[in-house]
Amino acid sequence: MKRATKRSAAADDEATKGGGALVVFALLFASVVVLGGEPPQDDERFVVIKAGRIITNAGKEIRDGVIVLSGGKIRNVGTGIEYPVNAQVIDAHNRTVMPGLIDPSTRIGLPGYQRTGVHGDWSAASEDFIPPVVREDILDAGYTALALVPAGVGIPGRAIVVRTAGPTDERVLVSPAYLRVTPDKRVFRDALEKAQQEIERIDKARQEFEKKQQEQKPSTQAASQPGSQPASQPAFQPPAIDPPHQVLVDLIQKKPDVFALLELNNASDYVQMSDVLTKFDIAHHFLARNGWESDLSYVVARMGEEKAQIILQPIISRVPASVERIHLVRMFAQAGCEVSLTPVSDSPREFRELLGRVANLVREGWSREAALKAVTLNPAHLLGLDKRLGSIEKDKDADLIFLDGDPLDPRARVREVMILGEIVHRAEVPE
Amino acid sequence: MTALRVFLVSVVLLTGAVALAQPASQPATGPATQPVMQPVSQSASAPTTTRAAGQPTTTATTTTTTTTPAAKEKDRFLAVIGGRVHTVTGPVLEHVTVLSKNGVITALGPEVVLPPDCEVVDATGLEVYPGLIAALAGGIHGATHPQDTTNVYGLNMLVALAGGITTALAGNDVAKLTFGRVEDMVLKPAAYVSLNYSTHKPLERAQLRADLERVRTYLRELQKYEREKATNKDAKPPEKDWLKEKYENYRKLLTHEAIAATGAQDTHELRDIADLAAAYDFGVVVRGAYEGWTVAPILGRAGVRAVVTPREDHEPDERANRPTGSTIENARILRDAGVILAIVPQTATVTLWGLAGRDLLQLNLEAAFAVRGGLSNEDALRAITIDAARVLGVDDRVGSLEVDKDADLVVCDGDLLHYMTLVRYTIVNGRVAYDKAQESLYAHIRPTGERTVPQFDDQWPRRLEWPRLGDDK
Repeated sequence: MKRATKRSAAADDEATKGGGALVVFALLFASVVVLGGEPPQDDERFVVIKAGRIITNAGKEIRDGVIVLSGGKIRNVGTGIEYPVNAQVIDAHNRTVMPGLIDPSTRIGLPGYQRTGVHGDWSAASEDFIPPVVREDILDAGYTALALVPAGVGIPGRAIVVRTAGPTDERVLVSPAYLRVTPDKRVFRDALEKAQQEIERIDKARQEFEKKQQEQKPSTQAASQPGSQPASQPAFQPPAIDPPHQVLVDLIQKKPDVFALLELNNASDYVQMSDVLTKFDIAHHFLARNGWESDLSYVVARMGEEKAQIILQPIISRVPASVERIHLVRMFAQAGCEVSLTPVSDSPREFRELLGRVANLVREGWSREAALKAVTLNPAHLLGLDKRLGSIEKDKDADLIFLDGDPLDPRARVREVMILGEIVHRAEVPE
Repeated sequence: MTALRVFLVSVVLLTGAVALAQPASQPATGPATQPVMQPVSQSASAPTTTRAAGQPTTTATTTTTTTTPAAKEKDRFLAVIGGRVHTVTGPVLEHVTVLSKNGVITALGPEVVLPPDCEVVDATGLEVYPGLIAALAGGIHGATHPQDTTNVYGLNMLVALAGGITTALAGNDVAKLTFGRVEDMVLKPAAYVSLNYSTHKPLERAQLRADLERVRTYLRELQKYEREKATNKDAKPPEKDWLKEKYENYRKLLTHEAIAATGAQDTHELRDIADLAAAYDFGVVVRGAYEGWTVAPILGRAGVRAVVTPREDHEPDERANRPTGSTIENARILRDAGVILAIVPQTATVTLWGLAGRDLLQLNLEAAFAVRGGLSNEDALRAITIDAARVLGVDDRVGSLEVDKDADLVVCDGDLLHYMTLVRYTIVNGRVAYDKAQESLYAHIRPTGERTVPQFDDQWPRRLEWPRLGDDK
C-alpha cells in the first residue's frame, strides 16, 4: 500500500496562481487516495474548489478558502484544508462562491390554467416540463432549486421541489411537497371540515368494527377447541378517504413532512386564515404577495409573535392610498419572522433581477447576511431541505453558484452553476 | 350574561347620581372593577325603554357564545373618560366615564373606579356618542358571509370608521366594523325578508298576496289545532310540507320573527305596502320613501319604519292632482307621524371618488340636512343611532349608551351634526378601531381640534408648501 500523498492548499495556490479564468484540471491519478484510511471508489474522486471568497451562510465569509467535494456532497470547507493529491481542483480564485438560489414557490415556464375547488391529490409533479430556454434563464439567474406549484385557486394541489439541472435521478428533491392554499377562507375551512368528517367517519367505523369483534369473541372462544390455533383476527380495513381530502386529513393528524403554504394577498387574508387556524391546528407557512402597494404592515407584529415563516417579494412597498414607502421585508424579519424571498413574477427577467432587488432591500436598510439567507438557507428551511441545501457546510449537497463579484453588486453576475458537484451551466460572457 | 339587566333610566339621571353598576347577581370580577355607585333601586331601574322582554332568543344566544371564549382569557377593559356623553336614550352627561368590559358597557357615570389594566381613551373636552349605524350600506363588508369575506383592513372600512360608523347592513346581515378582526363581527344574520310589491308588477303583487293568505290560513288552522288537541283526539295538525323557502319566510313575517324590507318610493307604493303590512300584521321597512311626507299618517299608523335620504331630489309630477315629489321636510313630517326613521346618504357606500359629501363618510351630515328640514337635533341623532338600530332590529345591542349594551362609541371634537366635526376615536366592541392621530386619512386636519376656519394667504389651488431650492443658503 502506498502512502497517501497530501499537499496543502497553500502550496496548491502557488501552483495554480495565474491560471486566469476558471481552469479545471486534474493533478494526479494516484492509485490510492487515503482519507480516513478507506480504499477509494472510482466515483469518490474528490473535487476541490479554491475560491477567492466563500459565502457559507453559516458563520463568517471565507477569503481564499477551499471547498472539498466528493460524491456531489460538501466534505469540508475552510482555509488551509488538506485534500488528496489526486483531487480535481477547480480554480475559482476570482470567483465568489455561494449556495445556489432557491425559489420556494413559482410556476416559471409552466402554463397557467383555471382550476377551482379542492384537489389535494393533485401535484405539480406531472408538470416538470419547463422549456429548455426558460431553464437556461433560471440557471443563468443562479437558481439551483425551485418549488413548482400547481395552478388554480382554492386548494389546487401539492408542490414539487426540483433541482434546476443535474442528473435525472437526482432531479426531484421533494415530491409531493407542501399543499398550496390560495386566500379563500371558505374553501380552506370547508375542506378542513370535510377532512374532519372523514376522520370521524373512520373512527366510527373502527369503533363499530371493534364492537363487532368484542361481540364475536365469546362465540369464537366457545367454538374453538382447546389447544387449536385461535382463528386469526381480521384486520380493520378503514373505509377509503376521499382522495382530494387525504392530505388535509394528514395535516389535521399532524403527519410529518406535510404542511400548507397559505397565500395571502393582503393583511385581511391573514386575519381570515388565522380564524380557520384557531379551529384547525395544522402545520403551515405563509406566502404574502406584498407587491407594490400593501397593507401587510397591519399584521407584522402578529405574524412576528407567531414566529411565522413567510415568503415575500423583494420589494419596497407603499402604504395603500399614500406615498409612504415601507420596507415590509425588513419589518417582518425584525418582528421575528423567518423571511424567504421569491421573484416578483414568474418571468425570466424577474429571476435575473432578483439579486438586484435583494441589493435594493439591503440598500434600504436590511442586513446583508439576512438578505442572502432569505434567498438560500431560509427557503431551504421552509421546504424542509435545510439539512441538504442552503449553506456551504459539511455533508450538504454541492449545489453552488460562482459569481464574478459580490452577489449584491449590480455589476456581478453568475458565471457558473454547480449541481451535485458538477458544473451544469456556464454563462457566456464576452471577454 | 345574566338575564337581569339594569337600564339607564331618566329618573335616576335627574338626581345626578348617574353611575349604574352591575346588579349583585352578576359574577363579581374583583372589587376594583365594581363601580363605586350602587344601583339606585331595582324598582327605579325597571326597563322603560322599548326593549321588550321577549326579544328574539337568537341575539341572546349569540351574546353568550361570543363572550364565552373571551371569558376564558383575561378580561378586557376599556374606559372613555372625561367626555360629554350623549346617551341618546337618556340625557347628555358632562364629565362622565364609560367603562366597558369585554366589549360590553358595564358602568357609566362620573365616579367610576377603573380596574388596574384598563385601556383608557381620554375624551376630556370631547363629545362621546354611540357608534353610528348605517341602515343601508354596501362595500364595507363582504356581501355574503361578512365574517368570511370582509377585508378587515380594507380602506372602505377604515373610511367608514373615520365617519363614525360602527354598525352597517352587510348584504342581508347586520355587521360591525371590527377593524382587523373577524370575531364578533356579525350582529344579526338575515336581518330582513325581502319583499317585492312594486306597482309595476301586478302579477307579482297578486302572487304575494295569495302566498301571504295561504300562510295566514295555515297559521289560523295551527292555532285551532293547538286549541283543540287537548280535548279532541281526532284533531290533526295542518299540512306543512309546503312550508319552506319563501313560505317559511312569510311565516316568520306573520309570526313577528322577522321583518320585511322593500323599496317603496312614491305615494302609491308606500300606501300599498302600508296597507299590506296592516292587513297581514307584519313589520316592514321601506327604503327610499321620498314621497313619504304625503302619506305620513298612514305609514305611522301601520307601524312602517323608513330609511330615508333628506337630500334626495325628485321633481313633482305636474300631471298629478295631489302633492308629489321630494322635500327636505320629509324626515321631519314622517317623524311627526310616528314613523321610526333611519337616515342614510344618497350613496350608501364608501366612494373614494366622485362627489364628496354624499356617501357613508358623511352619514352625520345627511342627518344634519334633516335638521335643516325641520327635524330636531335629537331626532336627527336618533335617526343615525338608536332608531337606525330599531330599523335593523338590533336596538337591544347597539344604538345608545347604556349599561349592558355593546361598547360601540364615537368620540368627536364637536357636535356630531356640525360640518366641522371630525371623529377622533371610533370604538367597536370595546376596542379602538380608529384613531384619527394614528391613521393618515385626517391626522393632518385640525390635529388639535381647533374650531377656527383656517385662513390661507395664497390663492386656489393651494400649493403644497415645499421648501424652495436655495432658501437654506
